[in-house]
Amino acid sequence: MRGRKAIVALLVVSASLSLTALSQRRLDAMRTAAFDEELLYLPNEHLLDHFTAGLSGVVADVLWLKCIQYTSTHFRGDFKFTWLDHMCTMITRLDPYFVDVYRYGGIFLAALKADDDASIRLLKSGIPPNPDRWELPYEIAMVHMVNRRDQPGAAEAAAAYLKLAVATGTAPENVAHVAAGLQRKNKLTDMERAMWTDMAQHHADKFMRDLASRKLALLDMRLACEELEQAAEAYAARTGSPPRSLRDITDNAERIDPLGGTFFLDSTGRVQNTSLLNESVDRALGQLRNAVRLYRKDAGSWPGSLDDLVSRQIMTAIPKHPYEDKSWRYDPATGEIVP
Amino acid sequence: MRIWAVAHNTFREAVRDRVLYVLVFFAAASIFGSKALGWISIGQDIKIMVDISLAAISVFGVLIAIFVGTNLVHKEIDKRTIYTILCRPMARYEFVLGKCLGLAGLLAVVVFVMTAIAAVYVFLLGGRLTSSFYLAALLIYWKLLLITALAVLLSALTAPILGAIIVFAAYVVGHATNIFINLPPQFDGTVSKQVLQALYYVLPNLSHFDIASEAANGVAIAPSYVVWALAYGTVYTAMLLTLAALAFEDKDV
Repeated sequence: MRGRKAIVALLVVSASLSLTALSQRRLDAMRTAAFDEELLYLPNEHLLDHFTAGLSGVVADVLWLKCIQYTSTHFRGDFKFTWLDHMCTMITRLDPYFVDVYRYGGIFLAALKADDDASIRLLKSGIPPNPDRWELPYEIAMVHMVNRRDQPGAAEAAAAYLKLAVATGTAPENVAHVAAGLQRKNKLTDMERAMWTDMAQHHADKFMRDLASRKLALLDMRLACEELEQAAEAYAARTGSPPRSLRDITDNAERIDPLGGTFFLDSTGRVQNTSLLNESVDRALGQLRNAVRLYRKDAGSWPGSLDDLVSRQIMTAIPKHPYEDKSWRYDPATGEIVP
Repeated sequence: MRIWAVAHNTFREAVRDRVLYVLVFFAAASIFGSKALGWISIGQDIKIMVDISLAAISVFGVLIAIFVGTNLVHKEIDKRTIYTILCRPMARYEFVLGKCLGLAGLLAVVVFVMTAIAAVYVFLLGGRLTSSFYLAALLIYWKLLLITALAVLLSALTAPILGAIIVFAAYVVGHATNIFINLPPQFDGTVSKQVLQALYYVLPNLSHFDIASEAANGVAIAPSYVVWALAYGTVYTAMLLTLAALAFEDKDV
């Protein structure tokens, strides 16, 4: 009697589980198919923000996970990403500090959906709430360089956004190099000069006018260095050896630097200017101090040496001191770096 | 002194409530389970864990405030234990304040324990929390105090179930009051706009206590913002408690 009951129970359980598994598979298939339509029923992002009952961060997280799932499903499927920009806009509206959504959303939109307008719109919307994040202007520059490379003015726009990324003071050193290289390659100094001149003459704030005047002076020094560099190359080609002093390549060796700096030849025969080098020191110092702060936030203590920043993958490499005869002095007890 | 006696008793009574442990268990489970969501988030696991931890503290704290708070006065009347209290030389407002303080103490312990659990869990998984996280937990506690005061007021006025529904509705609407001052242009020059704008200042604006996004993304919070939010919560809570005391003075028990 007991054995019969057990068999009946087993049969009932087996039959029921088979049926529920069948219906579950069917439901899963229907849900995946209806997922795009589900998004249609999500309220406008302006309204959604008000009705999350203080849980906007969690709702943004859940939507971001859905967004990743949506992107990977369509990446393996029909390659249509109709709702991608709507989802990213909604998530960033709910959590304006969620930088990875702007960043990866921008990359997905540009690289997968090939909608560079939507990508740039999303990335630009992230800059006001996150002004110190270099990744957002950097990704806009990448969209201009990759997606819009055949359009007129793309290189200038990319250079301008890379400059903005460098100006945040948190960008890695290679971004500053790419920005400078792009500017040289596209001969954008006239555009830069016009921008700083306009600011130096018309900006309402005195600090900004002074800053623009300084940038103009540095631009002149950079051009002067390039001019002397060409003269040094011509000298080396003519005589077969690099110049030993600036007097070998110019009659005007005592050029006036309005910022108080001087020109000199380094040990490799390259023309250097101390104002430009000091500017590079400030930028590298800003990156290092920022990385040291990040290390402390992450590890709870100051790094033992600057190399720890690389081993913890906060920096890809320690920036070289712009002056060839100097090196960074770091105090592990206080986290202070002295140029 | 009499207020403290009631508060102490309320705290002890609430600690024995099984509902409390069920809610704390689910809150802790949500915090521990948040790691699972982090696995599929492209390197955002710590951010998601912080978001879910703060959400769990807020939601389960509110549920505790609602379930325990709306029952506070009603249970005493229902079990007739209130007569043994009110026949003593004690003012009715002291009884209401004591009840509220007891629940505030309980919520302080719950919020502290859940914040500590979340902080240790995030630390063990390699994350680092900024001061914004602890400030977010403090503001959640202040929000819970306001909700508790509303629950105590309704406990003196209505039946527990109706009170719980009203408090929950106030919690949802309290996070959406910004909509009243961001009206579309169609409302310009209408009486509705003036009424809704007045409502914005009358209803509690709970979104002032919500800095979870900043905490999860490590964005610094201005100390003056926290001070103003605490001041706003303190004044609103004091007003609700005054109304609760007045309502209980007139209650026929």
